[in-house]
Amino acid sequence: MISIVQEHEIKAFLQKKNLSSVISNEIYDHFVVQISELMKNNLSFQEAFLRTKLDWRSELEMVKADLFSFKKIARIEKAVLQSRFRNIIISSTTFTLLGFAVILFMNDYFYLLQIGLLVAMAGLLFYNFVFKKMKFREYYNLSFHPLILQNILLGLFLILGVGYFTQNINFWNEEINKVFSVYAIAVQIQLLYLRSKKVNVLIA
Amino acid sequence: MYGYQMTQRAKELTEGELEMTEGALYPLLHKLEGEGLITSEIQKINGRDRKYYLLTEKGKKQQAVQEAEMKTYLFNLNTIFNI
Repeated sequence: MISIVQEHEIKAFLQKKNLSSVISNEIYDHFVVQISELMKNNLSFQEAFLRTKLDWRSELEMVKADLFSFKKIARIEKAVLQSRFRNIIISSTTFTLLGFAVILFMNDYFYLLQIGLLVAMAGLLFYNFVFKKMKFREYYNLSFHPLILQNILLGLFLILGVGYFTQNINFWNEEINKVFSVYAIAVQIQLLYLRSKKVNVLIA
Repeated sequence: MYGYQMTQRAKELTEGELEMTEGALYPLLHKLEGEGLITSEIQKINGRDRKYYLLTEKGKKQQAVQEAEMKTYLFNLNTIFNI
């Protein structure tokens, strides 16, 4: 049987791994059961805890969350986050294709789409701040989010590339740059939405 | 079933042949939950939250399809190696 002090020791170990609450609770329960089972085979708590930590060594190793991230997270969390990021990119790309269709067939109404996206983003920000779903520090951190940094770099390459190839003096105003802005805002909206749902997207 | 129970059941059924990596299990379970193939329920056990996973109707259908595919695959392998 694991004592309260020993439970605290397990909790302290897992807290150092900065896991999201969903995964943390599950792994904590797993650790307690696994250690209790090992202790039934005449192992002391420390031996059982060490063996469990060794079993989880690879999954709980701290790694860079993303190529563009400054944060280190446990490998187990990375797999979940990467799949979440992939979903964000896929749905933003789908939405961008819609924006592209609007530019192609209803160019005069494209500004409505842009306004709609900005309103949605401002609305989500307002909701997150008013209902305390997000702190200002987290909004500040959002500027350094790997997906946002990735978009800034992509956007820079795109704008400069378009300017170089078209030699247009108003190169930033090309349609492709407008379409990219739809993609960038769609990514930001999804990050804010997921944050409001308390889903870990590396903002906190 | 909950996570630890799954790893132990897999070990038991395969007589220790299949050792599931605990860390790989949870991201997979969360992915299946996201796809609506399984659902979860949290219960308090000894003051701790324990997450139990259950197959949804969609999950049961998917399981039947995968099982049939696996049986066909094994049958084909068997046929090839018995030549």
